[in-house]
Amino acid sequence: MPSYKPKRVAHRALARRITGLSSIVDEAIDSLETATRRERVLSDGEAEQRADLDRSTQRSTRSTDEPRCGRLLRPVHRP
Amino acid sequence: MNLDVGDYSGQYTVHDARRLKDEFRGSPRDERVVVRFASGVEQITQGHLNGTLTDLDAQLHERYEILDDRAIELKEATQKVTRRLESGRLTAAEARKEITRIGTAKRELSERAEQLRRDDAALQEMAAIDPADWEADMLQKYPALRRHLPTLTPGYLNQP
Repeated sequence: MPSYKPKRVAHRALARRITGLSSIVDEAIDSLETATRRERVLSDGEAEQRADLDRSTQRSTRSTDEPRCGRLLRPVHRP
Repeated sequence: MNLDVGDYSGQYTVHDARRLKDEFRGSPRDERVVVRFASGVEQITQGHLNGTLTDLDAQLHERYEILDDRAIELKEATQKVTRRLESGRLTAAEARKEITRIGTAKRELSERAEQLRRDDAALQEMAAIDPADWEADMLQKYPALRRHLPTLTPGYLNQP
């Protein structure tokens, strides 16, 4: 009776498949880094805008409702 | 003239059967009987070895298919994450979690592929083994198998 010859498993094909997967994962990591930077920029921009908005809100509130300290302290000279 | 079966009857491993064939001296008819018995012992063991090899081979190819499918599945999952990330349907934090999960799965896949490669090499070595040595290993590991060894009976020896 002849001895059974096992068929070789296609390791190279599997290795190529895993290498291809690694490249795709690397691309995903690149996209992730880009997205992270973009989100950070947007988030920084939003924070800056919010800060600007807060500052301008404070200024407008002060000018209408609260008298400025400097004006109160300045002596009034009348002719 | 019949053989003196008292000297030769019993259970035979392949090594024993080969020794019997080499050392037996008798009439041409008796020698033919012994040669036929020894050949039968070899064939039985080769048949068992072939059965084991066939099963292991099928298991390896099944594992290969599973790993190949897993690689495809992970590739598609990665591409989907990238597409959703780039189209803004996924935040960077969510994508990071997904990519970390895929990275872990990929490492596991590589390890399993490496194990498969080693097991395949071991199977190729096993296929090249002498059935007599394989049988000796099996009997050492599982002594109870000795009960199933081919038996040389008086009836076999004295058949016409």
